[in-house]
Amino acid sequence: MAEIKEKGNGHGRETEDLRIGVYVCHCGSNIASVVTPSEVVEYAKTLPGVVIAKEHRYMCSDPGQALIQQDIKEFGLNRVVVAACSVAMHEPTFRACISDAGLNPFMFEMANIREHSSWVHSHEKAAATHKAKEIVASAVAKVSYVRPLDMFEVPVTRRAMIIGGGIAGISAALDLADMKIDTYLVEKTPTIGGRMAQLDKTFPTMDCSICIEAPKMVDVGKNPYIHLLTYSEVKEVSGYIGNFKVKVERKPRYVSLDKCTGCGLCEEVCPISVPNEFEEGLGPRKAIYVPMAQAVPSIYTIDMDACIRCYKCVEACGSLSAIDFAQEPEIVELDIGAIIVATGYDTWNPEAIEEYGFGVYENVTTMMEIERLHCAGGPTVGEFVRPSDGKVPETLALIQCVGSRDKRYHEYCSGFCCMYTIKNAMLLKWLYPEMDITIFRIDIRTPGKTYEEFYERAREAGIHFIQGRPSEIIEDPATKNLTVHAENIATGQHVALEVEMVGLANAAIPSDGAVDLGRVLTVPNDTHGWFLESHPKLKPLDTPTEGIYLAGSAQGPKDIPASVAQGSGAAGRASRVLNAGTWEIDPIVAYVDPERCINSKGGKCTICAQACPYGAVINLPGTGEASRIVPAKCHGCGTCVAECPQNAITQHHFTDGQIVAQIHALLADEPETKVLAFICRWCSGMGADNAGVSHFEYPANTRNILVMCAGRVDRDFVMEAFRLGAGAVLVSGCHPQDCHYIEGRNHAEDRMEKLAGQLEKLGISPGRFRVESVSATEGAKWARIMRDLNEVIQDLGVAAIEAENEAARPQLTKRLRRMREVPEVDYLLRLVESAPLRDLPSQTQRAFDAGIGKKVVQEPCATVPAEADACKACAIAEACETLGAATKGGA
Amino acid sequence: MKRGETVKTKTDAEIVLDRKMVTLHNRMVWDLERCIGCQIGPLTCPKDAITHVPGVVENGHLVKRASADIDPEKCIFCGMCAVMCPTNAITAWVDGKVEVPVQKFEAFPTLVESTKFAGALFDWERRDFVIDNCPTNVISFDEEKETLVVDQQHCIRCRQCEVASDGAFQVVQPWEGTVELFREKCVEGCTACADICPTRALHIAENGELALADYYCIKCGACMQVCPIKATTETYDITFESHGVTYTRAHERITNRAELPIVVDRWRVKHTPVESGAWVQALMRLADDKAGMVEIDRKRALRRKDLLKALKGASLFLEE
Repeated sequence: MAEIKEKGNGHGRETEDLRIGVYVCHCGSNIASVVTPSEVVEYAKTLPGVVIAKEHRYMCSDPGQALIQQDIKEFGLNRVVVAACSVAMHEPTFRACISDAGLNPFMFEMANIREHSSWVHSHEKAAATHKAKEIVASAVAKVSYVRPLDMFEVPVTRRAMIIGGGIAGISAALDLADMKIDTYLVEKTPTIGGRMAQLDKTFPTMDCSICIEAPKMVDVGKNPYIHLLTYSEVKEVSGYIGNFKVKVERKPRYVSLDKCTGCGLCEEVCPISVPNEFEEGLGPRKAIYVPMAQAVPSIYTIDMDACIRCYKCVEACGSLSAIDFAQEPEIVELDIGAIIVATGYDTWNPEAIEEYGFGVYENVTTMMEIERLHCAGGPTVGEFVRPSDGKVPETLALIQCVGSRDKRYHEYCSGFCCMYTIKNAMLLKWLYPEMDITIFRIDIRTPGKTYEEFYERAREAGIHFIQGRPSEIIEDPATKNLTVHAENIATGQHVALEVEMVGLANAAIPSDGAVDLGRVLTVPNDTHGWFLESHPKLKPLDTPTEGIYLAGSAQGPKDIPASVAQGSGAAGRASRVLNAGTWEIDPIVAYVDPERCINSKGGKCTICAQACPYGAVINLPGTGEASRIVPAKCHGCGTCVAECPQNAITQHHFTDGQIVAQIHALLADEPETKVLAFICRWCSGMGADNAGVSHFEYPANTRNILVMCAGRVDRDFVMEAFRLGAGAVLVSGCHPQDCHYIEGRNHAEDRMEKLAGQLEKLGISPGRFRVESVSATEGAKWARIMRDLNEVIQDLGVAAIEAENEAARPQLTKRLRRMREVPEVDYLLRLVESAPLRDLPSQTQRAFDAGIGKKVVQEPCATVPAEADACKACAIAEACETLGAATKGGA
Repeated sequence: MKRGETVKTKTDAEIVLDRKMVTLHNRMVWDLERCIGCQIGPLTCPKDAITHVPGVVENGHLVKRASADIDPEKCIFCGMCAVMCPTNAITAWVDGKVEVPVQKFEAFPTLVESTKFAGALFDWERRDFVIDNCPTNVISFDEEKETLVVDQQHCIRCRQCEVASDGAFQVVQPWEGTVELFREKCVEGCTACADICPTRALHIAENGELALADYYCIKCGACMQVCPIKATTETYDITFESHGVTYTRAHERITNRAELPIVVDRWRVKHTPVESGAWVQALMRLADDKAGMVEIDRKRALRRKDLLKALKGASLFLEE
């Protein structure tokens, strides 16, 4: 690798000032069994600016961190690179580590040699080690250009919102209220209670579900800190941690919340009956209704789809005059500091499994129907009858894993069905000791406390268990009895069991609208639609969006104790923010160099303002004022940076200079054989990590550069990569609906589609440049894309790629000329070209002094009152509010 | 189909909607053999679940009767259409019994209609003639009681028996209104309306000409639906205030009245007293504004009466 140094390829800014320490982690054998750490260490020592390089079995352990801290003091390190795992995993750990040793936390870079190398190239150890070296070189190149940044402090609104009023949401609300935090509980149905309210008894203790939940529901209703917004839906969320603005739509109940006493006289006179959703359609409710007797609030609602406006209810309500046909949907706007998503689950409609005949055979029921049928509060007042003739069945078959653990429908295990099926069987056995009950199962999963004992009791009670997934159910049209056909795996024999009724343990699925809500919240959903946690082990309650937390089945199927625990847990996570008063957020915001902004010279450019998904740009075209970015509103996607035609905008910690340095480092050696990927650190970055965690192998000639959002990827970066000879280039972001910056990736897509056409005209084969969307769960897709791109390179051959690049290079060089307008990039390129640095350090310094390296602070508004109208026009008013009085005062 | 969802079964003879829950079974049956596509059903339905299916007229004859179709997702099993259907083609069932929910809960009236027979006044010579003359075959001879009986459930109150029996039968029709035939405006040779008329009010006279015997008309309006000279309509908004809400509803009115060969007007309907917004709305659509206004006026009159009662000397003019 000596030649890299000779070429001087992009390493080092003011080399004499750099004192970089590189630490290579073995991660036990996770890294060391594939990548040879000692080789990486030796290589790192040769990189410019690196004064020390070491390896350790576990860098994240106390001794590992102590090693770094000690070296910082001993060798006067001013920058640190740790070659280990993903940024999502340990970037915060090491930032804190170097910060404790007195360095600015941003003087750090993570080199991911685990998810991006050892875990995905286990069969190519030499190539994996080589890749690890170049990943370290890239991190060293970037860290050479980083500048100290101070965390950015924002005020926190001490108010929480919980979406979903099931048991998880109720638990979270009560805990937050105990901390005297104002909590808004938004529930889309007319009552809180959720799924738990529908259950008869709970396993394994067999206590009555509503009896233990109702007191909690009442507590919620009475608590002065909890504000119930039932029959309401979250429509719009903007803002950021500590400062969300949420728009909630309150659907009209046509009954006044203040006047209705829940007496029920209206219900008695209402002529229209429709199936009650709460009773799974087994029994009716009126057009004016409360879903159940224990509803909180105990306020009636008119279902306008069923109402015939006979006004009988108005007559019955009489002088209370609680009924108000004039109600209209109302939008409530709330300032919220933290949000907990507890939207729970729905049950899957098993009609899709035609061989089970649900929806065709009357006596094939779902498990929730069975629940309502034997519940004393249910439509039959607890008499367990079969739908066809209303008789108590003497024989019953319960079938497990209906739509779960089934590759045709849902691969996952719904978790709680084994237990509630056994519970229903036990309950029925209590009620009807003579009833013959058979459970068809694949496995019985009893992982909870005393669950296995419960299963044992069921077997002792005489409930039959047959291992085998039924292949078919056939109805006898005369008796409406059902014959369940299955293979008994234990005996290998065919079973044909005639029963009077069948219950299907149908899968739990994400609640209706979960994906839409995910879009509103910019929280990703996994491939099934469950909300995606930040980290499956260590941040199971957090989402990738700071300030938004998860509780209960919204994240995946859970039983009651787990949902309650998560509700409390999420309340704890949220209160961390809400009780803090202020919150620190990454200062990786964008910054406009006023001298280079064309508007400062009277220009009328609006490009940055149009690119910004958050309205964070103060854009005053034609006034002679340069555009400015409100730090509190900027989320740091970098879309405006890439869009600015004047190269006047920079993103802190993701400057053009830093990224170009990484490109140069990664393409220093045999660029024609390489795939260079620019990826956002959310979906695509986590997708690449997911490929690592899942050990999906792909070729080792692939290199990644992480940015916050695909929107940050400048055309120049791609062109520079091809100018340097890259074999293939990928730009990958989130799927359109998942973008963490609303539409940053859309800007990237538009930009890159145009660029793709231009590159093709320059003779770059179309397959060599690709734009993709990869979600955080699509590790397999990531590996496939990497293989595809490698195939493109293999098919073309290095010679052809070289020839294409050679032909395109003059044009690319010409088009890239303006990239040098950024002093930092110019400086870097001069280093690379060994050109004289005359005057440059001072010019670079000037740029830094002007703001690039400056601490992010809340600047007072520069707009004088006389120009206040222009100020309003650019929508700063809202931002000013969040910035507080200092800004409002202005000039 | 999930539990409680509505299932529609359609044959040439009937449309059946079933909504089976475990503790409630609603059923609505539309007898397509009785249905004449008169539009009263679609106009009555508060949820627009019933749509009119036009008939087919070829060479002046009806080759396919006008009819109705039902959207199972919209029907809420209220039973209003069953009350208003002039040919009794619709039946509402609750748990296996004929029952109209809106009537049970007094949100809809019962129409005042009857067919009574006074055997003593009857010329028994005419027995078979009267029985055969009934267009709906609802009159039969009860051997045991030696009298004529009427299937009240299916009688459409056309008064054919009243005339045929020289008044021994007495019929009360629910609807009042007018019907007019302008023969000169007809399409030459067309008798489609006589083909659909359930009462033989419109018929082919002995001279082979289309004729109207308006006494038999039950104001169903089916003739207007099949007439090849179609009524053109314009919509106009009517605004009314009810329970604090101002509603604007689009109503239709005929714009080419002068061109139509057959015109049926419904003015008012006899019904048992009821206080119901649903009834007022149904009336306003069925009988243009007039009947609806009559209904509203009746309520106002009652209120005025209450006011007057409070006055001194009220007894003087409120004696009766």
